[in-house]
Amino acid sequence: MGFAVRFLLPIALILGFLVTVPIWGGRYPTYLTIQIMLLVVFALGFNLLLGYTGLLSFGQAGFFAVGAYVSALILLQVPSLLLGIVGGVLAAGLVALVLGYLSVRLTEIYFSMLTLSFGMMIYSLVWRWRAVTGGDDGLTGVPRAPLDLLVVSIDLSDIMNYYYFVLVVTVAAVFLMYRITRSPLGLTLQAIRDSATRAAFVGIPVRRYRLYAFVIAGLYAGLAGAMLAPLERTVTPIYSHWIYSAEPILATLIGGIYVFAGPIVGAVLFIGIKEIIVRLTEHWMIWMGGIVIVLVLGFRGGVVGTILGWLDRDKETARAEEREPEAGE
Amino acid sequence: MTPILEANNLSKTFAGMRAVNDVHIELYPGRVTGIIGPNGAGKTTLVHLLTGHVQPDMGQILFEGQDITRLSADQRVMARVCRTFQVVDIFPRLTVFENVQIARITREAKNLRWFGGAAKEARDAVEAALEEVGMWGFRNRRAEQLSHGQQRRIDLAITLATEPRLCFLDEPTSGVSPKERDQMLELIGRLAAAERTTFVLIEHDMEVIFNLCAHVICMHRGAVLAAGTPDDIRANKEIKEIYLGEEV
Amino acid sequence: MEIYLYQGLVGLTQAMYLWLLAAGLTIAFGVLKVLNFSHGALFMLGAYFALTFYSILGLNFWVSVFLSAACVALIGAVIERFFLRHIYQLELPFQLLLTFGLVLVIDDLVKMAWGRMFLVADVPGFLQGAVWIFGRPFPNYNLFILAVGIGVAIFIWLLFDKTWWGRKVRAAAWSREMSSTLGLDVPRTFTLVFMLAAALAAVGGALSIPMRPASPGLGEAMIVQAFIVTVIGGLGNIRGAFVGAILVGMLTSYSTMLFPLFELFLPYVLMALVLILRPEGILGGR
Repeated sequence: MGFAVRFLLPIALILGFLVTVPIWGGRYPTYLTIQIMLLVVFALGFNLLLGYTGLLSFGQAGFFAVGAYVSALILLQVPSLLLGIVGGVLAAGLVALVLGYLSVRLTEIYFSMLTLSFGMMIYSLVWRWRAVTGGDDGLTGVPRAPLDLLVVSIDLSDIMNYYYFVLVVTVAAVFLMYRITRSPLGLTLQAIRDSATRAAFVGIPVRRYRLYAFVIAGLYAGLAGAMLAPLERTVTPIYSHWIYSAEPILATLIGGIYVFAGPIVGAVLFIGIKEIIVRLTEHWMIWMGGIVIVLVLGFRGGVVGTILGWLDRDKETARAEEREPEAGE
Repeated sequence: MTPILEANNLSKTFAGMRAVNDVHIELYPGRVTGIIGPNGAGKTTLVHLLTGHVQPDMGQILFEGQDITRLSADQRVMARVCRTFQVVDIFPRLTVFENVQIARITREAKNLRWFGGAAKEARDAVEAALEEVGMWGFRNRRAEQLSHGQQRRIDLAITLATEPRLCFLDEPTSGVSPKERDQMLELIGRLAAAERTTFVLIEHDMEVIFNLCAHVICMHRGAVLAAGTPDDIRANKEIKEIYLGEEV
Repeated sequence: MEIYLYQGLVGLTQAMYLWLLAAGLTIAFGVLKVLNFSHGALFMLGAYFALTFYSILGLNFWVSVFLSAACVALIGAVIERFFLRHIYQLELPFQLLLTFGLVLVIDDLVKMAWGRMFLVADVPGFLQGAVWIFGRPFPNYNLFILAVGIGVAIFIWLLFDKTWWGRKVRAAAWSREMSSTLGLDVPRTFTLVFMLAAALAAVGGALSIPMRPASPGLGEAMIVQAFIVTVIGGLGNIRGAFVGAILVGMLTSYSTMLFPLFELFLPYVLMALVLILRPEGILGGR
């Protein structure tokens, strides 16, 4: 009974709320919530790498962009949303496999350097390859194609309808990531994070599992990107720039690196903060940079981590007061 | 009796210095072996080479007849050659239970299960390993919250959970209180007597060596200086000189 | 044939800017053990400060370069003292995140102070003109840059190999605890080392102003290249940084000539090859 109340009730409330947003919200809040959901997907994948495997990637935007561009290219030829999105996701996963294979060969420091470099490599490729990507003009006129399931074709051209599509996919993605983190694979990754040496000396082929995490993160980034293309109907090179890689980094840091809900809460907070800052000044990077510095120096658990820390501390003092010395010590 | 591990012509050079110099070593099953020697003698490097932490420049390592020289550390663990480290290295953010559990999951090759279900995995085996070292009561505590001695016991539990046939313990009693040291010795002795695992200890504490080891190897400047029973070693004049008159 | 040699010289010149940045990055990493993502931004600051002193305020070129290096060195001192010092004992991701935060801050500060304009400078007086090498005019300024690059290499070698201070620093790099018991003021040394690293990057940036326009994106363009250099040369390896910079500079130069479409791509290909064939870097295994 406690489990249902603590766990399922808040989730039900949140989902209930999300389902109603297009009804009372209007176009802009709906659009904004879709952005939040895409960032949730993007950041969840990113945090599997950082919070669970201990690898900080500065190049996730590269996979996001691959997902977006491939999805756009498919949709411009074949008006099938399913095909576009699946294509985008698989392409991102494939690129992640290749680049990940190279990036996990060395230590964590090299990994971060390499992901930044490879991310910018994708950026310059996207920028230069006018014939395919449209260069800095990007791809325009991407259709919000209908979702063709076997028996029914759902028209998603209205943003309200597209919202529900993104909501369903996001919920599925969150659920899937939750299962992954609670699995033996998730535990293996966390062991690698805690001590790569000890993990090897327990029998874990560390490099291989880091690659798995990297590919999953790439797939999630690609999914977010693939869903963005029909939303914006335009894809430009900015989505592969390292500034865009900063979005899941900031969201996860703000929400909390070592908690599952961190990227989710962080995505909401990040987009909220960015909306506010952008209205006040065009120099939002300096504020975000400042937030990063403050968080790293003082609040490494992020919002969720810090709150959980306070709750834990209260629980510990309460428990210590009633505990007897442990036997067998 | 055939040796469980045999290494020939083992050499490793670091930054121009020969840390391990043309070493030949034989380890026999069921016999607790101790490796002693002054600091810098190459004991730890030798264990690094035997366990796959570092690749040798030259030489060959045979484990149960199989050439494991080219195997990586994780492959050697799966082949049942394990170790602990001088500086305790466990999984700080995982609970005590999870620390041992991950070793069991890996031994059973279930790491690739990705759709939930880790919580209940290998519970019985984990309980057995933790009971063996007396840490079952702490199973839900985060490993980083434990004392140094407790962490050493977890380290041992993790290593045992991988079901090694050959196990290297690098200074297992360093930095623990005398009471904990005796507990550790009793534990290792009990495990060694069960003869499922062959133990090799690197130690500076001579009492530990003489209490547990049937065979002692003394290293100096990267080479094996002498090998034999504890009594042989005790009587060896060269070794006494090297330890500068230390009580042996 | 001659055109290839000429292009090689051009590449070598470009390599020297990269070398100055990579040297600073390597020294900071080798001693402080922190990978400073914002080092490219320091290079960029060097360029912007020099432009301000030289093109806007009309000061002498050498004074401008020196002042620019001094300003950035001071900024480096502030960064080390107030930010880096707090992260030495943190886990790696947080160290990287902090220097990443610094990138965001510095990039926007540059935009706020100097706008988004592309600023250029003229080659200073007596270095104008060119010399005929391999049948083509090679700018005197480039020769100067080559001399500076080699000079810095010698300077660094002398500093860390031959001077008492340099050896103290290497001791501090090797073991913090050991060197403080030997009477070395480790915190102050770290600040000085980072100031040196920052100054090197700033000199590179300052000297680059006659060659290319300064823009807010310069920082990350340079840091990406510096990373490629350190992967190829081996992180923390100063000689590797020199060799790596030359390789990347020459490769970029030749690909501009031979495969213009892939000019940006080839350094990545080289890096990928090093990663596959010799991951510890060409001079690695340090």
